[in-house]
Amino acid sequence: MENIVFNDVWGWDIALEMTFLAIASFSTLFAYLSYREGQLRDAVIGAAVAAVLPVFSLIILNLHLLKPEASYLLFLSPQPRSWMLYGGIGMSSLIALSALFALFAVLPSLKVPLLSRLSPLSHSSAFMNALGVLMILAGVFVSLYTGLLMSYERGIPFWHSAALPAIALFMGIAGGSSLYAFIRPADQRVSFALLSSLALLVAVYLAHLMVSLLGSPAAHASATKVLGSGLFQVTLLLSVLAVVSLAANMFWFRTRYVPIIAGAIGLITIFVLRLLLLEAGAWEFPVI
Amino acid sequence: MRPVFVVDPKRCVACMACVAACSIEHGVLFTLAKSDPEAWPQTQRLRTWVSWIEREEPRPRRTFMPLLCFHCQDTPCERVCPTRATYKTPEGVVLINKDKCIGCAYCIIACPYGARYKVKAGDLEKAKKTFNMKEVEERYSKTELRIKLFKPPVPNEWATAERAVDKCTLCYHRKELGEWIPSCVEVCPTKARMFGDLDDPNDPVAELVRSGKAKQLRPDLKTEGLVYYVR
Repeated sequence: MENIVFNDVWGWDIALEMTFLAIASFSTLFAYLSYREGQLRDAVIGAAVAAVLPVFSLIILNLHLLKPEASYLLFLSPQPRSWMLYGGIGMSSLIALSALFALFAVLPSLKVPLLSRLSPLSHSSAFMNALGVLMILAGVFVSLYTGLLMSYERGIPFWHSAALPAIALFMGIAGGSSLYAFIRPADQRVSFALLSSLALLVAVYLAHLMVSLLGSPAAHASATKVLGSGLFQVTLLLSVLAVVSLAANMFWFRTRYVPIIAGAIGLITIFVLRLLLLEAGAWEFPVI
Repeated sequence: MRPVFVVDPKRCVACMACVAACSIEHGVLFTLAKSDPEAWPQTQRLRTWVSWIEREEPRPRRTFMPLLCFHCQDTPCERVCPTRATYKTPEGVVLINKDKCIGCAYCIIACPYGARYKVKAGDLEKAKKTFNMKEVEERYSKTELRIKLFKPPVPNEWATAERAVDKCTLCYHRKELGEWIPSCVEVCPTKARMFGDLDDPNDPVAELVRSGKAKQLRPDLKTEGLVYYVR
C-alpha cells in the first residue's frame, strides 16, 4: 500500500494568492524608501500595489471557500490558535496601512478640498515615518505568515520545516524587488536586492530539497517530485541566468532591459517555487 | 464516559459492511466512491474506508486496515479551524458544526491521518445519479430503482452536508438516542471494529488498550487519538 499522498487541496490558486502576497509584502519597504528619497511616484505605485494585491489574494481565498458568503465568521467566531486568523488580520492591516500611506503620500498633489484637512498629516514626517514603518511591519508579517502557515503542519513533513518561513521571507524580498525592477530599472540598489534575494531564495530552496531527501519517506517523495519536475528545472535555470545577468549588468553593461527581464523571471520563479512547494507537499498516512 | 475505538486488523475480512453502514447512516458519497485499495477517507471522500496492505515477506499476505477519524485529543484540525467549526465534545469526540464550517480546507491539510474531505455543492445530487458498479448501472439506469441506491442521512446535526468538510463522528448522534454504538461497529461481522469505555474497569475493549495489546498509530505525532489498533 502506497501511504504517501500528495496534497491536492491547495493548488495553483493558492500559489497565485501567496505570490501576490509576496510581491505586496516587500513593495512596502521599497515604497517607503522611495518616499524618503522624494521619489513620490515610485512610492505611491509601490504602496498602491501593496494595497491592491492583498485584495486580490483575499478574493482568491474567498473563492476557494465552500461557503464564501460565510467568511465573516473568521472574525465573528475566531480561533486564536489558527494561523489563518492572523493571516486575515495581517492582510487586512497591510491593505489598510498601504492604502493610507499611498493616500497621504499623494495628498499634497491632489488638491481636493475635502481632503485638504488631512494635508497637515502628509507634511508631518513623524506621522509618515510611523505609517511607513507600520506598513513595512505588516508587509514583513504577511510575507512570513505564508511560510509559518505551512511550516506549522506536522502532518506534511516537507512543509514542517524551519526553512519554510525563510523561503517565504526571501520570496517576499524577491517579489518586492522584482516589482521595483520594473519601476526603477536603473537603480543599482534594486538590482542588488533582486540579485541577492533571488540567489538566497534558490539557495535556501535547494538546501531544503536536499535536507528533505534525507528526511522521512514523505519528505523524500516531495523533494524527489520537485527535483524531477521539468518546470522546476527550467525555472532554476532561468533564475540562475537572471542572477548572473544582473551581476554582469551591475558591473559592465548597465542596460535597463536586464533588470526588467530579471524582474519578470523573479516573479515567475516565486510563483513556480511556491506552486511546487504546495503540490509536492505529501502526507505519510499511517499503515500497520 | 471516555470512548475508545479498537480495530483488530487480523479479524477484518474487508466485507465493507462498515463502509455501507456508515454511508446509510450518514448519507455520505458511497455511490461516488471507487474500489481503491490504496485509499483513505480523504481520498475516497467517505467517513470510513478499508484499505489493504500486501506484503511479500516473509510470506505473501494481505492485511486489511479499517480507517476512520482518530479523534485526536491534541487536535490539529481543531487548532487550525479559523471559525471554531471543529470542536471536541466532553467525551473527546471531534465534531464539525456544519453551519460554522466555511470550507477553507485548512483542517484537511492539518489532519495527518487523511480523515477529512470536502463535500462540494451538488455532490449529494451527483451521488444520487452515479453508480459505482457497472452491472448495477446497466440494469437500473433506466428505472426508478436507481434512486434507491442513495439514501438520505439519518437526520442529525453532524450528517453529511454540502459545502462543508465531513468526517467520522463515531455516530455521536446515537449517544443522544440512548445506546451509543457506531454503525460500523454494529454491523462488523467479525468484531474487527470494537467500541468501549475506558472509564469502565470491566470493559473488554478498554482492557485491550490498558493491557497494551492495542496501540495508537503514529505515536510520534503525539496527537493521542481515541482509535487504537491491535498489533
